[in-house]
Amino acid sequence: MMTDFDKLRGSIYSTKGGWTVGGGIATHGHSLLDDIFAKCSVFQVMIMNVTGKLPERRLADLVEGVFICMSWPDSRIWCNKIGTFTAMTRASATTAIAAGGLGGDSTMYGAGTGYAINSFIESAYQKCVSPNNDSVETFVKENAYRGGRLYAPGFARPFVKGDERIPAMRRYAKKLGFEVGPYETLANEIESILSKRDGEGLNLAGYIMLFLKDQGYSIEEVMGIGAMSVTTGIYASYFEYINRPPEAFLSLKVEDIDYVGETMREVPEKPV
Amino acid sequence: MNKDVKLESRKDSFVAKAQTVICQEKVSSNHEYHVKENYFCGYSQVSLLEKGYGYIDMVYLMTRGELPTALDRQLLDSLSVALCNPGPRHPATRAVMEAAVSKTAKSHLLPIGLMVLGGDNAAGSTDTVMRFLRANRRKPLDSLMDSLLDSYEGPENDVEIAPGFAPHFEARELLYSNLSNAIFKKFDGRQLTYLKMILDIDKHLERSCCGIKPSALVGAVLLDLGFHPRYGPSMYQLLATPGLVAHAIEMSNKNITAMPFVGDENYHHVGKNDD
Repeated sequence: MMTDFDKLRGSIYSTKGGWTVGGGIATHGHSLLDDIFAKCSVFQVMIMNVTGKLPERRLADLVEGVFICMSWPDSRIWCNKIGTFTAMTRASATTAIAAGGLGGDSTMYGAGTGYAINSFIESAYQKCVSPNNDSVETFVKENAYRGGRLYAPGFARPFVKGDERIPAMRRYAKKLGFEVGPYETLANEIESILSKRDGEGLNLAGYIMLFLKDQGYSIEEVMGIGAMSVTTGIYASYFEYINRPPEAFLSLKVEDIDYVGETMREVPEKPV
Repeated sequence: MNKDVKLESRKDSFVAKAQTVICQEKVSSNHEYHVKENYFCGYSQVSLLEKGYGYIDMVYLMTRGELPTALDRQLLDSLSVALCNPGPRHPATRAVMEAAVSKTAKSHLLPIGLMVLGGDNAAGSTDTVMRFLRANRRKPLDSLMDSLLDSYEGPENDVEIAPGFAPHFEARELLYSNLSNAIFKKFDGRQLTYLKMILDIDKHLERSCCGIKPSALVGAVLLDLGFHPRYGPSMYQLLATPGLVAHAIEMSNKNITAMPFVGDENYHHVGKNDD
């Protein structure tokens, strides 16, 4: 159907909610102050704002668990480092969170890895679960390597093999009463194969993607829920350095940058 | 709904349409939402392009409302050379290099750099610098500087002695004094009141630990060009953009190991947990 742009000149039609003076704040069919405030967690509200539906508290708690495990105070992590650099120039805490959060929209770590993980696991699901029923072992051999090196989004992590957060999350999900769904079951099979072949396992971004897919969320919804998942450590890095001297983080002398470009040369006259 | 508080609309009067003096879109003859040509401050975009106007002309036109004179264009052009790159050790540049090497989306790299650059220790305080220069332009500099030097509590924390003047690494650095002097000499004979003012302030600081910060150079030249202080932070960010882009993209196809990473042996846990 063609969009009626004329109808949208000066008018907003929201399915999400809004505030009218004297009419209260509506959010997804609920009254914010009567139904949500002091009853729900901020993670429930955030997920509702993404998906349109208020999730169970236990699901929001599990996502909160992932946020806690995903980001920690260590200024070597790239998004945290951006928070530290933000403190060095004395920009605001909001800037640190926004800039560091953007940093985490990366294909190497953080929220930005979601599309590649989804693509890999969907491919595996279609070939090994439904509609086809191929062997997971064959899928891994044929699809989990590029140029002889492991490339399996959702599995393995930078620097180290193994991820202590995955068994912790699995225990927490079990405690909250969640059952292992078909995506996670498939991931567990892939993990056991990769573990034997390469000593690699599921990573945290992979875990939450598969868990939320098993809960029926779309890739866009999962990406929205995880959008700012790297931020708690950024707060720590920013506030560690905001009261320190401006250049007091991994201070660099001029000689600490290795210039490897053209040697000094005469500037030519500017062409007219 | 909460019945405890009676809400009353302030009945603010909002405009029906956004107004601008910068860009006029000429509507296409066959689609009311399409544009056939843009006019900037009254000038046809196509004509500007055909007559060879460039990037600096367009920046000046859209921010000042008129095309620059030859001298104004050269002055803004010279400032753009002086500010083109904060340097690879500047926190904003380090941020884009780290983001690029850790495979942050390429469209985020410049915004990250500009956000870090926007801190009060860099571009963010350029408007404050410009207001300081404006407020003190007619005052005797000798007494102002004597009182500033008497009450100064630096160089710790690179604290500013006045907006735009401070130590760097707790000592006087000359890079932006040299660049300010280079621009002043290039435009010898022209009335560069504010550029002269920051160089005069700098002379008073020669025996101190403070020097000209980039925000002072940007602020002074923008004031000499007739800019209002509120343009300061954004113009500083705009001028530093080429360097941030270049350093970001240089790193963006390199492996994560192309930037240093402190090993566990040099990461020291100090403080509360060790008490």
